[in-house]
Amino acid sequence: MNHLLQAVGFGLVTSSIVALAAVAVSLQVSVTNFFNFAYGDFMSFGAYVAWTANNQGINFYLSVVLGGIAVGALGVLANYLVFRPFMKRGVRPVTLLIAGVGLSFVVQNALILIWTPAPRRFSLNLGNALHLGPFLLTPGDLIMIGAAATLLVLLHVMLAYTKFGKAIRATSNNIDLAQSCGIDSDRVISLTWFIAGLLTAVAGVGLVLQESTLSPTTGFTELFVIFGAVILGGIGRPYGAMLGALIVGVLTEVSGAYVNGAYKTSIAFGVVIALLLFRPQGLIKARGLIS
Amino acid sequence: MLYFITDLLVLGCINSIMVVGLNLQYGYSGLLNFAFYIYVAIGAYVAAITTMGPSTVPGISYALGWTLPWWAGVILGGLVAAIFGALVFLLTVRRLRSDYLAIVTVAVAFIVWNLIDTYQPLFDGDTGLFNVPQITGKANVSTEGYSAIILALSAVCLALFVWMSRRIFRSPFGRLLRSIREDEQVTAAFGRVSWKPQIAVFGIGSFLAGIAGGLLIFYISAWSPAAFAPLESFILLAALIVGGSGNYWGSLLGAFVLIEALAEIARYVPNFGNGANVGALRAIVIGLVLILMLRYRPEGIIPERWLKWYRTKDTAPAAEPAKESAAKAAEDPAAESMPQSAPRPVRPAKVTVAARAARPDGGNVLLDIRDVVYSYGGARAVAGCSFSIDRGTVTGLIGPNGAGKSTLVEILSGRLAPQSGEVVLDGRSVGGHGPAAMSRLGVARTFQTARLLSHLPVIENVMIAAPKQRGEDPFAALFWQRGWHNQEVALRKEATELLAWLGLSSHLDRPAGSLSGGQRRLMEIARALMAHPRLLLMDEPTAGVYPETSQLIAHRVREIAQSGVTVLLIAHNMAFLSWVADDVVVMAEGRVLTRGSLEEAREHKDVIAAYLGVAAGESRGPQASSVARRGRAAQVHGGE
Repeated sequence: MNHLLQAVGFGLVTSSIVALAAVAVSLQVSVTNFFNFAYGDFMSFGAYVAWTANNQGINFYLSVVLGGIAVGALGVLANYLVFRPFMKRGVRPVTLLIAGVGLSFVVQNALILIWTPAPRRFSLNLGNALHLGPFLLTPGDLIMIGAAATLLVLLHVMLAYTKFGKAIRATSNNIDLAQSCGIDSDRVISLTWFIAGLLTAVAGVGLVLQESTLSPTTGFTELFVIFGAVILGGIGRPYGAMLGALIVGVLTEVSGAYVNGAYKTSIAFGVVIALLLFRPQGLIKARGLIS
Repeated sequence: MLYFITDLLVLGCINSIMVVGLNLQYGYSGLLNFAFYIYVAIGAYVAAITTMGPSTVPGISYALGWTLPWWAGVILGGLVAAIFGALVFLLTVRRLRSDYLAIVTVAVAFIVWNLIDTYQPLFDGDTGLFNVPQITGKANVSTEGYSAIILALSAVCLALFVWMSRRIFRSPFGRLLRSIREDEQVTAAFGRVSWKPQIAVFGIGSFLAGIAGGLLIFYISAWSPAAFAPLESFILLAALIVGGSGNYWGSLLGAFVLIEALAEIARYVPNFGNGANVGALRAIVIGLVLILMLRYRPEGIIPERWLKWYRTKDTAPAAEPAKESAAKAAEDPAAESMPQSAPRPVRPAKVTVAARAARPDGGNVLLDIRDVVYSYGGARAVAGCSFSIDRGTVTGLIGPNGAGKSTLVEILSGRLAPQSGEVVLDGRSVGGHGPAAMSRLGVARTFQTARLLSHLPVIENVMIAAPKQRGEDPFAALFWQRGWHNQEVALRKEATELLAWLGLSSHLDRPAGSLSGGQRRLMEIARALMAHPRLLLMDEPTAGVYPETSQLIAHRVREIAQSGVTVLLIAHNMAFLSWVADDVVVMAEGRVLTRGSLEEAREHKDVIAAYLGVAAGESRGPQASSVARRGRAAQVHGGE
């Protein structure tokens, strides 16, 4: 029992990282209706920027914020240079997905050119793990869970109560109608990319801290776990993405505690696929996105 | 030097086989498989463990060890990959939109990769298999002579697979795949089930991957999980898109140019910085090429439309002078302006619309709608609608917006199931049978907004509707052309004549997307007739159509009815209705208001009230008057 609860504790850490990333993906998908295949590389990029800033002696938290701004800027740039021209032409979502593959090639290999493929150590030494009830968590884990919870609450407040949040929801519901109501959807989409970028960098750093190492493929290897959480939760549904992330994260760690740890991601994928067979539209019904 | 060239060609051929396989899945059918290389790996592993002897070295363990001959290993590898592909498709793919499908294929591939990498008894885990005996019986031979043998073998395989691709492309099976790729709803409306042809082509594509894997392992003698990183699948996909997806020559070009040529160029770039830089630059170039191609030339270097859709001699009969003049004669009314009164009778030229024979016991009533109800959420669109239609008549379905006309047509075409009540077609209850079944029972339709397979030529758009095409069976398409060739020639002739009859002869080979609004309507009629319907449903065939084209449509609808097809059409254009309709059914608020000739309907006081937005003679307030004015204006305009 204790074994299980500890695994659930680790699962919560993984869940909070996946949740941040999945919500970022879901937010962007909800306004643009396609998956950014280069998303994992965006995470790696954010982590590299934060790592570099931190190595230059900048405060850790400030470094993460810098990473967030960098990924936000990359997202806006990618939107303008790569994705927007396709969207203006009204292509199928598949084409945008493949364009994202191209972007992923470019970003991931640019990371190799800039930072070399050698793995980097990146960790926070804040002391030993603490026993909190049944859980065994390091201070870094606690910070991660806290950061994810805070950011997601902030995001919820923004979506639910601000004018900009309303504009995002309107754009995601019906972009043409939103435009004709005077919403500058280009601006909304750009800002959404930026906000998604901020969350992405935090998730990227969290991922790296959990593994203590950083390499150009760090983010890419997690890409499908994140997409799995998004699809499971219901595409374009940020709250569904949180639920999907919780399930995927806890599932990964709990199964890792009982079977060979090497299979844990496979088991999570297997369960996601099995759940999708019964609910192809996701746990919270996706909005107008399933053909 | 010689070894360098043969080595290059061997890898080029094997990569080409992979890209040709991927082209069958993505290019022909629009099924995006992001993990194609996993099927290559399955083929390679299966070929290896079925031809190797049982493991004798301690610490190395793998399954089977059957010591089969090499060719059996290659074929088994292909078959296992094909079966696995079909299973993956069956479980996941057919339920999801194609970009999610891409993501699911990666998740499945990850599980397979993970299993191979971690579970040692299967394929020796992450160390992989070494010293796989080559075709000559030895292992690890890499001489010119040996690579020449493999080159000959893989070139023969490649030629065979390109020939197969070509066969599929030109067959009704290929046409069906293209049509499903373009618009699944159209193929469903004409009785086709999407997943059957798709699973076949997904399996064939995976089979090619497996064969390529088998050839590769007999060339390089070794295989390990590191050899099939996700990157490989994406490079194949990039090659396909750059070369031209849908076109088998494009696949070859992409494989040689993007994969081989770039790899060779990369060899000559001097290394700088750390060792990974040249490889990274190569990947960046691939990524940029992929994005730029999608942006500026999405059809690839060699577009699909450059392929001939059929052999010229197949269409030779259509070009006979007699037919030409018949087609001309049929085209005339479109060009000529018609008096606005009674339609000039036009003899149905040479074209006979093939109607299906009625069931002998069917009586005179073809369609009987009894108390049909359908609501969307709380809104009752069709609220207890009943009427019947006699054989060979043209019935107009009219009524104000929101009367439930289109919903009723959706029910009759099978896309919606009535929530209560009964639809009886030719004495048989057919409510809720689904579009494919309704199509097989002889119901064909046109859509409210014309739906076309816009990248396909007009003639293919029409031919797709013909029922019982023997060449749509994958096996027949590939290996038994004799079984369907004559039927195909006849269908092409029929489609050509139908299109000529509707004034579209000069557009046969143009992509349907280039047609104008009116031409699209005409093409939809040709398509519906190609299905040899008993009942033709037309949802606003003249909406947004130039008046002269409306007249042509009116003539043709009359002629269609004369040849025995029953027509039910929704229309708002009263002039059009007065030309074509034997009688009209007026619907309002989901019910039949009245039934009779157009003149009778016009005089009917309930009809006037319904059109003018007045319920039972009582005004609905200030809005009613403006609605009334608009309603009257429409009617006056229509009636003049």
